[in-house]
Parts: sequence; C-alpha cells; structure tokens
Amino acid sequence: MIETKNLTKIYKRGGSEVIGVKDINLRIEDGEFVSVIGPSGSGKSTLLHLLGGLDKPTYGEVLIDGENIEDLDEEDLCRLRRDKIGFVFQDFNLIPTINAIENVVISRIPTGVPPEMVERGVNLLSYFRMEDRLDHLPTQLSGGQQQRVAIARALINTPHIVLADEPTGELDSKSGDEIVHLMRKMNEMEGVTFVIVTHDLNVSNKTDRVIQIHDGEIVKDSKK
Amino acid sequence: MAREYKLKMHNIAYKNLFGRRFRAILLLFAIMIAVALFFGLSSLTAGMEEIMAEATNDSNMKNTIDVVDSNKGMFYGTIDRSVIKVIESIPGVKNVVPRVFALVRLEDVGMTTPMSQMERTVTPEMDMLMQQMMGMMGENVNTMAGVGISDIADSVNLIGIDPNLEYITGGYPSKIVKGSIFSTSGGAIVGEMLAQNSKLDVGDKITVLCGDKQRTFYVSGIYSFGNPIQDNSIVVNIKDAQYLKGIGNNEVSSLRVISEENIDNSLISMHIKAKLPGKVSIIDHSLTASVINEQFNQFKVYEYIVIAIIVLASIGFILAITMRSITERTKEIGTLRAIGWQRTDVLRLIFIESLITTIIGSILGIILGVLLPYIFQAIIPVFFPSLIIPPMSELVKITPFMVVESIAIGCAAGIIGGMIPSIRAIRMSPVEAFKY
Repeated sequence: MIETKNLTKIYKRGGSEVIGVKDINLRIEDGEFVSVIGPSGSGKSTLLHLLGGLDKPTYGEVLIDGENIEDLDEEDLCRLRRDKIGFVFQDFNLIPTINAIENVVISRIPTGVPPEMVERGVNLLSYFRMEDRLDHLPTQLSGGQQQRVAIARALINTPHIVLADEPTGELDSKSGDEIVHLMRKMNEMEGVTFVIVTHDLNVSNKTDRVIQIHDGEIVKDSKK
Repeated sequence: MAREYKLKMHNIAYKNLFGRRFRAILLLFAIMIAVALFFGLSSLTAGMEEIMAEATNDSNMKNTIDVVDSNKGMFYGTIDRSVIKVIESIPGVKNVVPRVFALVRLEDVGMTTPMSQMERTVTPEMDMLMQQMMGMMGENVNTMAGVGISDIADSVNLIGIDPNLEYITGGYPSKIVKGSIFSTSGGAIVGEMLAQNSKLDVGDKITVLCGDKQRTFYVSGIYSFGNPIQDNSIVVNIKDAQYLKGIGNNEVSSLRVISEENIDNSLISMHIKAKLPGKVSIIDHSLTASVINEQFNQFKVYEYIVIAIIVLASIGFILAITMRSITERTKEIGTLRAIGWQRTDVLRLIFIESLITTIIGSILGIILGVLLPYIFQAIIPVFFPSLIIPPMSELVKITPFMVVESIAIGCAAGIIGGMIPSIRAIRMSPVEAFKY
C-alpha cells in the first residue's frame, strides 16, 4: 500500500520557487491498477519520483506498506527500491552494453544473482514472447521489445509496486497497447500494484482508477 | 538443461568496456603512453646512473690521479719510469701504476664506433675539447701540430698495462665479460663496444698499426668498463704498447697514482708538482667524478620534472576521457541507483572497469617502454643523421621495482581518472541523473 500525507515538492529555480506537487493526500491499495494523468508540467512525474523514493519531498510524507520512506537512510532506501518497487521509464533506460536477460537481473548483480532469479527472468521474458531475444543487446531490439525487457526488469524482484513513467510514450499505438496489456496481466497474475503516469487517454482508459492532476494538485480521482 | 549466464560484476565490467570499445581503447592508449614514457625514461636514467656510478665510484676514479707529460699529454708525451720512485716516496701514495696510451688503427677491421662518426660533426673548438677529453691534458695543446680530430677519428685507444700491477690495484680490466686476460706479450683484450661494433671475438687475430709499426695480437678476452671511451679501446701488454708507440722500455704515457683512503687527492697533486716542477700535469679523477655526479644530478632533476609533467598531463588526459565517458553514463548510473544499486556498487563497477583498463594499459605501456629507447635509436638517425647515439643495450637498465612503479603509476592515473567523475555522478539523485 502507498500512502501520501500532505506531499509537497517545491523546486528552487533561480530566485523563484516552482511547485512540483502540492498537498497530495493519496492512498493506493495493494493490487490496484492506477493511472495518473495530466498535461505536461502538471507534476505527474514528480509525484511518481516522490512515491518511488527517487526524490525527497519538501514537506509531507510517503508511506510504503506503512513505512515512512523519509526515515530510511540511503542504503535502506536503495534496498526498498530494489525489493519493493519496480520502475518503468519512458525511454526504457536499459543498459546498452548488456543483453536482455542481464538487463532484467541487473538490480541483483552487486549482491549475486540466485539461479531462481535467472529462471524468473527467463520466464518473464518468455511470457513477454522474448524467449528468442534473451541474448540480444537493447540496440538489437525494437522499442516495444525494449519496454518489455524494462517491465521484466521492474518485476524481477516480485515488487509490491511498479511505477511506470509514460511507458508507452516512445511506442506506436500497437506496441503501446501490448505494453499496457502486459502490465494488466502482471497486475492480475501477481497482484502487483501499478501506478502508470501517462498523458495518453487510451492508456488511462484501461486502468481501474484514474487520478487527474493539474498544477501539482489532484483535481479528480475516479474509480471505475 | 538451463543455460548458464555470467552475471558477476566483473562480467558486466568486461561487457561495458567491450560495448564502449572506442573510449576504452582511447583510455588504454593514454595509460599505455604515460606508462611507456615513464618506464622508458626511468630505465634510461637508471642505466645512465649505473654507468655513471661504475665510472665514478670504482677504483679508477676514487682516490686516483693520473700523472702525464705536461707538454704533450697522455697520448703523445712520455714520462720516465724513474718518476715512479719519486712519487712513491710521497706520504699517502699507495701504488703507482705505469700505463702506455696510443691512438692506433686496426687492420681490416670495420669501424662503426662513435669516435669515427665524430669526424663529420666536430668543429675546431670541439676538436680541442675532444683532445682534452681524451686525456691530452698537456699545457701546450696547440703546439701538437697535426694532432687533431682527423687523427683520432678512425682510431682506437690502445692501452698498455702491466697485468700483475693492474690486478693488484684493481685497475684494468674492471670486468672480463668473455675469455680471460692475456698472461704474456702478444695477447689483447678488447672493449665490449669495440668488439660489438667491429665483430671481434675471443680467439680472433687483430693487427694493430701505429705509425710505421705494426703487431698482430690474439684476442684473449672481452672486457667491459661501463663507459664508451674505455669500452672502445684495446688493452695489451705494456711492452707491446711501448714497441708500437716507438718508445723505450723506461718510458710510459702516464702514471696512475692511487692514494691511501681518506687522503686528499689535491695534497698528493701538490707534492707531485713540487717534486717534478714543470714536468708533469695532473688529472684528478675525484674532481672529474664529482663534476660528473653534479651534472648527472642536475640531469636527474630535469628528468624528474619531465616525468612529473608526463604523469600530470596523462592524468589530465585520462580525466578528460573518463569525464566525458562518465557524463555519457550519468543517466545509466541514475537508472542503476533507481533500481536499487548502492553508491558503492556503482563505484565498484567503475573501479573494476578502470582496473582492467589500467592493468592492460600498464602492461602494454611497459612493453612499449622497453622498446621505446630502441625505437628512438632507430628513428633519431633518420632525422638527425649526425647525432651520435650510444647502443641502448648499454644505456637501459630495467629493475623489478621499476615495473611495479610503472604499473602503480598507470593504475593510479587510470583509477583516479575513472573514480573522480564517478564520485560526482553517484552523488546526484537519480532524478537529476535522468536529465543527462
């Protein structure tokens, strides 16, 4: 479960202050399939970064499974991101020099990759119809295939939450639909909470809950 | 059966290097050049230091002075043997060793020595200097009509010795590298450089010409002294040298005076000059040694400055490459941090990458550093045909410490160069890093 209390992020740019998000009070239950929509610069990505502990709030709190991430030191925060949260980025952010399966398990490389994790990685890629692309470098894959590798990477540690920032932004509509379909499948199969930031209504229409954000504030939160 | 995947940190490091091979090769090249220059210069300095030490610290330089004819010097003047007794009576004198010096030619032996090459470049001023360098320390050098560089250009230095006396005093030969010293008249030992250049070996026969006289010798051994002039000489029995030079049995070219330990050479010189006024000149080797040492120490300071510039410039160049490389990877570092890598994990990966590059670069650098002096030796004559370069095999000295030192410098340059920009990158929050 993710919960935010009065979550606010203010950036200082030059001499002036810019509000990223303001007083966000939000509760996302386990297993939800949520989208966050809004125009460019509305604060969607800022919210996602704060939820994932990638950025620190100016005020307010983010609680993941009841734990305030502000209380965690750098090491524990890294561990939380690795074990409980998966990230999917708009431009995939795959490591260009290593192949698909290595990219999937990369988060575990420093501590050693157990064989069962490799097996899970292979299974995820196979499920995503990538079984013949395990040894391919990112440059040898299409955009849709790269995003599937990125989703497998986000799911490898069986996280509670996957935070996806414009996951279909770089893809054509067919590939985008496939990606959303895959995320929905994983949400149903593994009970993973998905929070998808998008400005594509076609994507948000496929989610169970749509949070609309404008100028850093939630203006609408609707469940189907 | 499930396939095995190589998923260790070092495997990822290899792949990162291979995947960015242009940058890796550029970095490798920078480290290689830095190490090669450092190693090449260090080995040259060490070799020269050893030669200087050999030339200045052995018995030929320490506590020794040479007494020569004041008028015509070492090569053209003579001293009567009766002077030996006069000098031996001076307090503090340990031994007096007579020697005969002559400039001779070798029949049917090709000369490719530095001395013969000098003819092309020498000016009248250098001619004079050369004569002095060769020991022609007479007070009236200008009167030696016809004795110039053209005379010595294709000549070798012949040294006539009393082998027993030289053995007692630790004089010639300082080190026999092949064969043995002659025991009787008719034998000769040849300097290593002369033997190499003229393809002479133990057992060969050589005919020595001096003026209208000639004598054939068998080569009984090859010696090494550590300096080009002496290693380009031929040593024979003093009687043979006297015959070739056309001087009497009681005449010699110089007397090497060896003093007791802790006796000041200048004191002995003063006594000799007082007892033999106007007859002899003194060549004080301890003075020469200290001048050489002083000059060499000065050279070493310049060499250290050059090494420091090379190392700093290399670190700068390596930093420029790694800065760019890490900047390009900032987003990747941000991603790794976002998905759970600790800062230390990122540093560990970059450290392994730097270590692999620097070790390979350092090893290649050492190989190039070993070859560098020889490469210079081959290239320099193309651009500077008149320049005389002694054989590098005699100038270069490689020690295990030098190898360790070079690897350490290569690794330090590569690792510092790799780590500084990485530390900057890992300090950023992942969100900041994504903006790159």
